[in-house]
Amino acid sequence: MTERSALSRAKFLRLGSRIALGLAGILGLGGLVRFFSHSPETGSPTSFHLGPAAEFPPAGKLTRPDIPAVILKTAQGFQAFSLICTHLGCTLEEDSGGYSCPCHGSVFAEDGSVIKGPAREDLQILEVELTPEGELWVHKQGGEI
Amino acid sequence: MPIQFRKLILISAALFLLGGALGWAGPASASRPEHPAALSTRPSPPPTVYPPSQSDTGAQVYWGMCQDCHGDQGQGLAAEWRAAYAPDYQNCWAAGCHGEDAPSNSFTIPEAGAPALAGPGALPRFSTALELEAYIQENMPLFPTGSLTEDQAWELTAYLLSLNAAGNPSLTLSSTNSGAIPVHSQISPPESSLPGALLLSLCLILGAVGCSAGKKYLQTKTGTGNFYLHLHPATIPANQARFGYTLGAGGLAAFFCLVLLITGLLETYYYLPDPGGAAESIQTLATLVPYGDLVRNAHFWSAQLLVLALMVHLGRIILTGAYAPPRRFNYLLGMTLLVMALLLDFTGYLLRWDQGVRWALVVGTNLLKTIPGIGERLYYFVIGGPEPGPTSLIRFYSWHIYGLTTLFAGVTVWHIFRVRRDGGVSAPPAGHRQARKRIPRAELIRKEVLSMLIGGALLLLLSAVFPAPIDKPLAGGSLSGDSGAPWFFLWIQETLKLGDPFLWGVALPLLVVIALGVLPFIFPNAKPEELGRWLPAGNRLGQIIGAALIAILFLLTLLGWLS
Repeated sequence: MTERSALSRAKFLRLGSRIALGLAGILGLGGLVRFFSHSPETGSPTSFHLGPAAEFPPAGKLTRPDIPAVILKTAQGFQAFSLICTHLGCTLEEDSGGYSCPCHGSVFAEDGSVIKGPAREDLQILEVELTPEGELWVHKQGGEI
Repeated sequence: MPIQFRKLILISAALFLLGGALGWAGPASASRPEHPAALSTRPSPPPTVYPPSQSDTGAQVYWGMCQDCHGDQGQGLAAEWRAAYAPDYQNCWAAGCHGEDAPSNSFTIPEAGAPALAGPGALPRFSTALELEAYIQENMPLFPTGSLTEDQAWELTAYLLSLNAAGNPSLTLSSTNSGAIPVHSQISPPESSLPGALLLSLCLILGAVGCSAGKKYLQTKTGTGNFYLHLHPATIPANQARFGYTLGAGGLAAFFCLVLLITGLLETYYYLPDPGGAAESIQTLATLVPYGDLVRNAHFWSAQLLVLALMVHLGRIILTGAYAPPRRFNYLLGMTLLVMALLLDFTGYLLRWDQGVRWALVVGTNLLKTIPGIGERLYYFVIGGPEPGPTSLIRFYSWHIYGLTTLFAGVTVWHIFRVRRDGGVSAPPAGHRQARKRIPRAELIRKEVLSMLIGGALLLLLSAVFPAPIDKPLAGGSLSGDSGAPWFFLWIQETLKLGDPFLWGVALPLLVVIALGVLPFIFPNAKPEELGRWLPAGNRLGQIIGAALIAILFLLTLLGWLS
C-alpha cells in the first residue's frame, strides 16, 4: 500500500512538472510567434498626384515609373493600371504596343491584359480619382506585390 | 481726394489704437494670441477633460498658440480659415502686422503661409513623432521662436497625431518612445507583457517544484541514452557538488550566457545598426513589438548578472584555492572569459546609441589614444575612422554579435571541457577524501535544471518589472553634457580622476587583470589534500591579494555609483 502510494506520488509529480514545463514551452513559443508578428509601417505613399486633368498628355497616355503605373485617357474616362508584373512582381518595361517583363518574359497588351505567360492574370487596375478642382489622383492599395 | 484722406486717417487711427493695445497688453500676453479681436468668430476653447491625456492638453496649447495661423482644424492658413477673420485682416501678408514691414513686436508670415497640419498630405517631411517634436520645439511658434516648453512640444505633437488619426492615444509620447511612432499611420501598441511573463514564470516555478519534490523518482532513473549526460562525470563527490561550495556561480554564468544568446538573437531581428535609426529601432522593440520589452530587459539583466556571477565565480576559485595545478590553465581561460564578458557588455551597451552611452563613446574610446605607440592606430581600428560615426556603430555591432560572441562561445566550451579534463570541480585526490559520499550525475543535472528553472523565473520577473535603461536618441554630433560610465566600468571612471589617463585608465586596469591572472603562478598554492573546501591555508597569500583586489574594485565601483 505504502509502495503504491509512493509510486503514484512520483507519477503525479512527474506528470505535474511535465505539464508545467510543457505549458511553459507552449507559452514561450506563443510569445515568440507574437514577437515576430510585429510589422513596421512601411510609410510608402499609396496616393499619387498626377496634376490637373486639363494638362493630361494629349496622346492620352501617361507613364509614371514612381508608382509604377500607366494612366490612359479613354472615351469612358481615365483608367490606370499597375506596371507590376502579376507573376512575381518585377517592374514592366514599355514595349512596342504593350509591356514586357524583364524577369521571366511575360507580355501584356496596352490595355493590361496578359498576352504571354508565365503571368496568368491581367495587370491590376488602380483607382483614378478626379477631384472637384479638376486634379487627378491615382490610388493603390497597400500590400500587393 | 477727401475720401482717400479720410481713409488714411482711419487707418492711422486703427494702427495707433492697435499699437496702444499691444503696448498695454505688454509682456503678460506673450503666450496669448496677439489679435483675438481680429477673429470675427473665435472658436470656443476645446473642452476640458479630466484627467487630460497628452493630446487633450495639446489641444488647449494649440488653441492658445497655434490656431491663429494653422487653423482651428489644422487646415493651415487657407482661404477658408482666413475667412474667419475680420475682412481687413484676411490678407495676412498685406496687413500691417504680418507683412514685409512687420513691426518689431510682430513677425512676417512666410510667403507660403502656415501649412496645413491635418489631412492627407499634411506634415510631409516627418515620419516619426520624434522628428515632429524636434521641429516644433525648435521652430514654433514663429514668434517668439522656441518659446514652447518641452512638455508643450510633446503635447502639441500628440495633438497633431490625433488630428491625423495617427499614433495611439494610449501612448504618452516621450523622447524614449516617439522614434517608434509614425506620424502618418495608426499603431496599436501591444498589451503589457507582464501577464505573459507572470504566467510563464509561474509555469517554471511549478516545474521547479515538481523537479525538487520528485527527487527520489529522478534519482533512481539515471537514464543512459541522453547526450547531455556526457557533460558530467558519472559520479561527483557529494561535498564538492554542494551549493555552499560552488555557489552555483559558474553554472549560473553559463545559464546567463544561454539566455543572452537567445534574447540577443531575437533582438537582431529588430535592431538597426545605423546611427540614424539604432535608438529608434530599440524604441520600436521596447514599445511596439509584442514582448519586445521583455526580450530586451532579459538581455540587459542577464548581461549585468553575468558580470556579477563571473566575479562571484572568480572570488570562489581564489578563496578555495581551486586554481592550483592542474587547473592553472583553466583559470587563465576563465580570466579571458571575464575580460571578454566586460567587452561584450561594453559593446552591447554602446549599441543603444542614445545619450546614455556618451561616456563610453567619448572617454572609453579616447582612452585607447593614450596608449603610447599603438594608441592612434588602435583607436582607428576600434572606431573605424577619425571620430565616432556610422563605421563605429557597425564595428561595435560586428564585434558584439559576431567577433566577441564567437570567441566567447569558443573559450566557454574550452573552459567547460577543461573542467572535465582536470577532473571536475576541484576536490582532494581520492586518497585524501574524508567523506567518500558521491552523487550520481543525474542528481547533479536535476540540481542544475532546478537552478535554471528558478533562475529563469526570477529573471523573467526582474525583466517584467524593471525595464532596461533607454535614453533620447543620440542626435548627430551632440556629445556634450555630463555622462557616467556604465556600472561595470565605474571603477575605471574613479581611478581616472587620479591623474594621467594612460596610467590610471589603461595600465592600471590591465595590471589588475594581470595580477589576478598570475596568482596561481607566483604565489604558493593549496596542497592537494586542502582542496575542495573554503580558505585553505596553502594559498593564503593569493587569497589575501585576490580578495583585496576584488574589494578595491568593489569599493571604487560603489564610490563611483554614489558620486
